[in-house]
Amino acid sequence: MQDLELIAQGAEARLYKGLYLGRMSLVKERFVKNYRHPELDARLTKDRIKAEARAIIRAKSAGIATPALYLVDVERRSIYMEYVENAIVLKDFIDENISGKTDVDDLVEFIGRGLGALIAKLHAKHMIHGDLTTSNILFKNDSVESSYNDQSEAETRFVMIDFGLARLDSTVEDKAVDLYVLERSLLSAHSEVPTLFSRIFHHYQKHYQNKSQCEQVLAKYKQVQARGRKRLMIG
Amino acid sequence: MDNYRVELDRETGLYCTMLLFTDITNVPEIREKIITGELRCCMVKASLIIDAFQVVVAANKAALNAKQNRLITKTIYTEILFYLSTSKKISRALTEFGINDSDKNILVILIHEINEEESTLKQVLGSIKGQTVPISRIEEFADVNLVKKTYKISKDELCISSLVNVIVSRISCKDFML
Ligand SMILES: Nc1ncnc2c1ncn2[C@@H]1O[C@H](COP(=O)(O)OP(=O)(O)OP(=O)(O)O)[C@@H](O)[C@H]1O
Ligand SMILES: [Mg+2]
Repeated sequence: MQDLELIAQGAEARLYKGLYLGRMSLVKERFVKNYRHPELDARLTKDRIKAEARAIIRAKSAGIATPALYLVDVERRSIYMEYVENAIVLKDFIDENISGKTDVDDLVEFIGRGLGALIAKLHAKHMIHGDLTTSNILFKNDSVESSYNDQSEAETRFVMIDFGLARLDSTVEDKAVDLYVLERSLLSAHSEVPTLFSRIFHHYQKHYQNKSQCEQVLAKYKQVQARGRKRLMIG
Repeated sequence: MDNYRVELDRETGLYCTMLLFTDITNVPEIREKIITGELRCCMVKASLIIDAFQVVVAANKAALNAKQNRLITKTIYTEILFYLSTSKKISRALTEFGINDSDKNILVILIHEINEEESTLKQVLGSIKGQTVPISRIEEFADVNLVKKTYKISKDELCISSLVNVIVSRISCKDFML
């Protein structure tokens, strides 16, 4: 990779942008954890990278937009993937276009419809994302605004990223927790948009094909939520 | 000339050059030269390639494996065929993407150091009786349905991603899928 530009540094990885194989690419390099034994660290990192790449592929097969993968290099602790152009992190999009604005119900509904349907697709295939936040979803900003009413449009405008904590064989409880993590993160990141989670949740239920499985997730979700409240009260 | 060159991963110091031929009339002769090693290159059925980038991603993986001394197959050129295929069986991968006597349209792939491709290109051009076509036209010679079947690609996937992006993603994960 030539002319790499560091664009972000997370808790686990550095992200670089640059041309690779003639394409604008993003390299996610997991760093060495010095507090771990080097061999153990290398093994865990390799497993995490493979798991993340596999989850990106599986999500794509389930009809969820994810970046294309160009190279998975466990020796370099890196995944080389498509840099999604003309997109912004959903968190920034909401902050700029919804928070503190009036007349934004259509837009909130649009996001609810898109994310609800996508998370339902993921869960229906027994996958969980593991870290559903508006920082781990990109919003493609390239087409005209007039189409905020279209379902297929709502599903194709969002690109899920950061599958570092994803699981492929998840239980009902995992799915409930996945939703709960999203609810908590929306409450703290977007407290000015209080209806967002309920709109996502509404469309999640509407789009979940297997209704009895969906009922199980809902029941579990209520338990998880109650447990969470109790924990909050205790502090 | 109609050849197309891409720089592979910097660590390999290698480049990938492609040349597309159509209406070839002497495939058996060419195959013989590949088998005996007289021609050193990779030849792929054009019908299974929808975009040059599909080959670039497989060639990059092959070049890195060669550089790191862990080729799964015999040569860097069979390695490209192996990564293009979803099969874990080498022999199956080679017959799936390698050329047959009945093929008419063939993509020729060279992996080389910078500006080292000239002599092999001349040799290829001298051996193949057919027409060269710009790589940008490669999709015209692809059998899209066969490609989708070969990579087991669903409709759902194509609603959210281009065919080439789905394919390169599969190629990149071949080592640890299934
Ligand atoms: N494929 C991509 N295209 C464009 N931008 C991306 C892409 N992947 C990541 N980004 C940008 O980089 C940021 C961080 O990426 P990501 O969430 O994968 O890493 P992270 O949060 O550091 O990972 P982890 O949670 O595993 O430590 C994203 O919020 C986004 O702005
Ligand atoms: Mg993240």
